[in-house]
Amino acid sequence: MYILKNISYNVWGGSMLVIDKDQVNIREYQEVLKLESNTIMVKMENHDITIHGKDLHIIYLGVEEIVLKGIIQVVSL
Amino acid sequence: MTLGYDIYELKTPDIVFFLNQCKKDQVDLYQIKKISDDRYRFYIPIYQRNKVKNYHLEYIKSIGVLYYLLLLVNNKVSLIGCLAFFIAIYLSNQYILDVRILGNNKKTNQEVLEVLSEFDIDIGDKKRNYQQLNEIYDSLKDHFKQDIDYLNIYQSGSVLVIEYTNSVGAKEKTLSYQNLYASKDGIIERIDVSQGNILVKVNDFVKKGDLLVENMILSTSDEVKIIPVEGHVYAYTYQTYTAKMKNSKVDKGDAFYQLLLQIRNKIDKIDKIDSEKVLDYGIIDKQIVLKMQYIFVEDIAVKGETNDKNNQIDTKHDGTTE
Repeated sequence: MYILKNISYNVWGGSMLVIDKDQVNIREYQEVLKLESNTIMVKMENHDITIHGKDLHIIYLGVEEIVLKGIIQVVSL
Repeated sequence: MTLGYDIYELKTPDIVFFLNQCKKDQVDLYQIKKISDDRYRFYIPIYQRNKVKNYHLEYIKSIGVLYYLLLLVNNKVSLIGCLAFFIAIYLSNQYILDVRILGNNKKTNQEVLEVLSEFDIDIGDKKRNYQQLNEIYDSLKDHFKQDIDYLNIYQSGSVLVIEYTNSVGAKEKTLSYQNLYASKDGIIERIDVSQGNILVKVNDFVKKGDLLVENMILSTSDEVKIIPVEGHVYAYTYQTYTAKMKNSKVDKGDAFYQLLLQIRNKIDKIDKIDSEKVLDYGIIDKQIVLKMQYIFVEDIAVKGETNDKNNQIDTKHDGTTE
């Protein structure tokens, strides 16, 4: 599991999104819906999370957790 | 913590499908990077290698400690070498490979070895536990009750170490309160006195029986105090030796050396010959006679019972003197 420094986090219905500078940690994700260099879309239990930015890429993909890195501009639900 | 990774590349137009497949198969992916339009590179832990066997991934290389360990294990020769190494480490830690005795007396060292042999301790024997070491310690202590002041026994790695200090060196020195007198005539060359009241100085001429180092000193309160006396007084002494042989038809040179050797054989006990001089060499009464004078540097100090110098001296002169 990736541990992020300077953590700020929010919880939506049991899922967790942690944003730390240029990294985003999404826990308990269901499925990756889209992976492009400027957009990553992840399906959660009750909603989808879309992250817009630049040079986005996955630095870890596990069963319950996904960690993204890049210049994050917008995170939308 | 993952110790090793395999690096793979995948050419696919639908990376999302692959990612979800990995999630389904519980495969962890690290550092997924797009290296060209539809080509991705990523890391997978080595222990998950079997799970991705059927993914048709392009293997690039492996990194990490686990990878190097696997390399070692996969090679038969390396594996045997590793096993031999660990077995050797294990065995060498179980047996005594050296017995080291740290002491200053060869005789005691030998006796310690004999005591150890009673306990069947030798190179190649199994290492002893603390209780057994204690027994050996007690036995050695009993055996060397009088001879050893300090004893320690321990195992350092595969070496059994026995340390001891011999008590002989620690014995108190008996002090002597006897004066030192000159045993013969001479000129003082040097004075090596650690205790006592020195009455002569270098280059003084002393006669046989002269008091050299006294056991009395006068304190500041005019009291006479008896102090121990210890030391040596070296002086130049003169001695003449004569050797004779029959005047046969011997070569003169040979005769000289024969007589010289005769004289030298007589003076082996003298501390040091300072100089050697031929006084006379010739025929006297049908005999070849060699007369030599020697200057020695020797310790002329001898101990006496009282301060009365006339009662003390018992001197000995080596050789035939005139």
